[in-house]
Amino acid sequence: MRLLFRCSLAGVILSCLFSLLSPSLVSYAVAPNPVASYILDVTLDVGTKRLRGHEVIHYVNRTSEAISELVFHLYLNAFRSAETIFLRESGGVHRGNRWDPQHPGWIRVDNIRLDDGTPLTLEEVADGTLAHAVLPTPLQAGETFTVELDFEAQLPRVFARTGFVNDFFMVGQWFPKLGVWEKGVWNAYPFHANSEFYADFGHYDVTITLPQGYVTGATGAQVAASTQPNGNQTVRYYAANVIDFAWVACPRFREAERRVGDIQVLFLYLPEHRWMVRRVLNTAEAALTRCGRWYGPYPYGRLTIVDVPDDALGAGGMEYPMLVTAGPLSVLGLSRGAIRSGVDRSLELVVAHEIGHQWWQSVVATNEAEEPWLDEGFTDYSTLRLAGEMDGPGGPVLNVGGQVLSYLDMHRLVYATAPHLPMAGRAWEFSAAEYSVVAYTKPVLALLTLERMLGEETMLRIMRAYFARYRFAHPSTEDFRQVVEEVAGQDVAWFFDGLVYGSGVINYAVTSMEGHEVLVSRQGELSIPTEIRITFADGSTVFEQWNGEETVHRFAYPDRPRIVHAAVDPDHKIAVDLCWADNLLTSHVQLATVVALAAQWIYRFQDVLLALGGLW
Amino acid sequence: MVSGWRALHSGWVRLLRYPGVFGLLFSLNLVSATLLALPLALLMVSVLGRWPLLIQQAAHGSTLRVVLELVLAGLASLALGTGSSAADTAYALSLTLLGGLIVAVLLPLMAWLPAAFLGGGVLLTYAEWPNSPHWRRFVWGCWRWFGLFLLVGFVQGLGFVLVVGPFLLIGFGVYVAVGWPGWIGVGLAVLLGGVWQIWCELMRAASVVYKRCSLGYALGAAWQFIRQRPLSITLCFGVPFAMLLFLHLLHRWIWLPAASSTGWWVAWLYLQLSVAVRLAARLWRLASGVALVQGESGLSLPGQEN
Repeated sequence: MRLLFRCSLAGVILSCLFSLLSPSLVSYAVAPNPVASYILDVTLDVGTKRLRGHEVIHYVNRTSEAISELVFHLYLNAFRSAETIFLRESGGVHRGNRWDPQHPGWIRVDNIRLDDGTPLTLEEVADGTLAHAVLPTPLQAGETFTVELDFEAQLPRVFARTGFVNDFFMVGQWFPKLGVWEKGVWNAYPFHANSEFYADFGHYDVTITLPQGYVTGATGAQVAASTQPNGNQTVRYYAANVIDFAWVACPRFREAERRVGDIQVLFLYLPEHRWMVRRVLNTAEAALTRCGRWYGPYPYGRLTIVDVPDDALGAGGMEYPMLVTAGPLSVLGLSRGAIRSGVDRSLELVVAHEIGHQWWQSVVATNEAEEPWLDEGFTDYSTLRLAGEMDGPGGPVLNVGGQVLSYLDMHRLVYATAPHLPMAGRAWEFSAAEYSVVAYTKPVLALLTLERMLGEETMLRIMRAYFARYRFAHPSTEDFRQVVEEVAGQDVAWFFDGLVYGSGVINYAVTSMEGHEVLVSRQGELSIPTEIRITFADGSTVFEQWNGEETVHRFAYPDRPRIVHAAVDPDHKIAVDLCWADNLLTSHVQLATVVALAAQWIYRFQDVLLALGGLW
Repeated sequence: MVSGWRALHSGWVRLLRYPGVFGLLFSLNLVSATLLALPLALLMVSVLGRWPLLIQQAAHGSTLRVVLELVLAGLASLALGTGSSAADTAYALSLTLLGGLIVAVLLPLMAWLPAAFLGGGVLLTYAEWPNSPHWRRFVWGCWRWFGLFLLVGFVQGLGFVLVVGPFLLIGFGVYVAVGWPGWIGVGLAVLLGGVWQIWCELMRAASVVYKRCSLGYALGAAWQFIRQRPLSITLCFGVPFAMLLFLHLLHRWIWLPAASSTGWWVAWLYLQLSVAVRLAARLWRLASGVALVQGESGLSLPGQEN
């Protein structure tokens, strides 16, 4: 009890500190009962690329179960040897970037104690990316404690979202962080290659000391800065109601800012990437504006976008609360020249995607390890919507000489490589290729199908309701299901049972057309209600609804003129339909189309002959 | 000696004097393109006619989408099994793409061989201005310089690959790594490419004007022209090049978008007009080159018989 009293007293003091800081320094969201708040004081040694820090955690047990031990994530230990789970699973390669054994990463914790001085013993488990410490007295429901520790961390050469390259520092997953206590256990897994993160909301007060001349950016807002005679500087950041804290530093950073409503957007870019500035800020403005309108307002007053050097792309394309990283990353694997020229629109897509995570990860903080589709899928669905609004239908990702590959095309293509996988599942249960299907592409196509089946307005009402209900919380798939069923008011089992949990696939086709009859078929195990459009010789059209439960269905119209044209799912609402080419059938080839095709090709060949011939 | 302006004027007169040459080349271009396009279109219609979605996409010029649908149909048939309609679609699309590949191989041959063959006849006709057009002489000219022009074409291609290409690559690389300085490399490549193109065209013109069939002679004669009359040559070739560029820009940015919004036959007529105008600009350049070389006949050329 004495321990708990002291912890509670410290908690009260810390709460007072946070409450003093938050309203006066930043106008963030209304506090959603923070669980784990951190005060961090860290020094970066730019020579050894090492961090030395002191950490104070103020924790509130908001569950009904007593906590008898603490579990910390020590993510940087994933990069300390080739034997870690992360490096064994990934083969030392993450998103095309290789782990450098000459520059490993690690973290060590020293002197962990409760605020009354009671020492705790921290023991590493698994591969050292988790550690636990037994509390002398269990923390009962509603009680608080404060724990302090010192740590030393070696940053790896940039790999898997964190590290250094020359004078560039991307400091992510860098401090001992508590897991999430829920349902009577710590929800914390070793750091797996496909997995991302899961943490409680809290307030972060972070003081960083590093050499003068370095420009910094971080989760939250800078609230103080000072210089020391020894050539160092100290910057202090504060962020309220966030699930993580990341920061960057580089002396070569330039700053570009734009105000989007009440949000201050800061883009930290490198001089060689000056060409990105307008494109990144335009995309940020579009993303913040539209996501705010679609789902609900961005709850923070600031967003920092960070550029990464060409040789540190492993740090790019990552989301943290109030801070995202971009850079010249191509989702198609093309060169920087293709991105710069605008042929490859990956820059816009990556920025839009990472900003989308501010809604679907940072605020609606689903478990990225256990249900990755809930954050990556929702975010990429938002990205697809954004790309469509910014650049046209489907969102072009590649545009070469008028030949366009859309973001939707790309997702359909990737989905078709492994369509039998369910979306639900823990991240590390899939290979890297499968993970991209289950976490990204299948959810995007599934959510797009849901949107097209229910209507955009209903879909947005669902998303708004889901966001409003679960912001600053940790919803699950079943929570989303409940919202969908409430708002849509209809059975969407095909979505949850069929696509989320199920492994079925679907391909609708018009398989034959004879006079007054047409045969449509469903191939694959999944069925989704759809529409058939039948056109008759006199130009009249009928629309039929089909639940798709039978594998074959015959539509006959003996009293009408012969059928000339039939289409199943004519508007391509079912984005998970594996092949759209066979959705439409005609009784005869249309001459006008053939002539148009021939004319098109003749001209193109004339053009090539002129270009290659020299004489003509 | 004639000035660049006079050569241009003379070239224009020669172009108008021999409309048959223009008509022949335009017809051949149209027929060659039709011979390539029609079988492919018919193949696509015959195997994909049941699924008009793909034909519509191809007709709109979305080749990438057709390829994408092929890949999707193939992947779908793997996921669904061979009995699915996606398998039929994939098979039909494969046939179409195979046809497309065959055409892609034939296309350069259909461009280079006729151009190399007809070059002699075209240049000889312009060189014999103001005589009346004589088709027998035309065919003789075609045959006389066919071998040399094939060789010149090969050397020209080699020059582009070995000299112009690296500058383009370096320029692009610098653009990617550093930015605008890369355009210097690209600019140099364009300049070198232009000079090399002019050199090769002068080689052909000199061979026909001086009735020679030697690559060495043609190279030397063309180089001597370039060295001695750089300004006239720049003007003589620069104006038609600039006009061609201007026509391309008009075509891509103004006419083509406007034509796209009309019916297919209006667009078709417009596109033919566009091909005709560009072809005329090229022939003007060739005729002007011949006029320039003829005007230089007072110069001492290697091996020239006076």
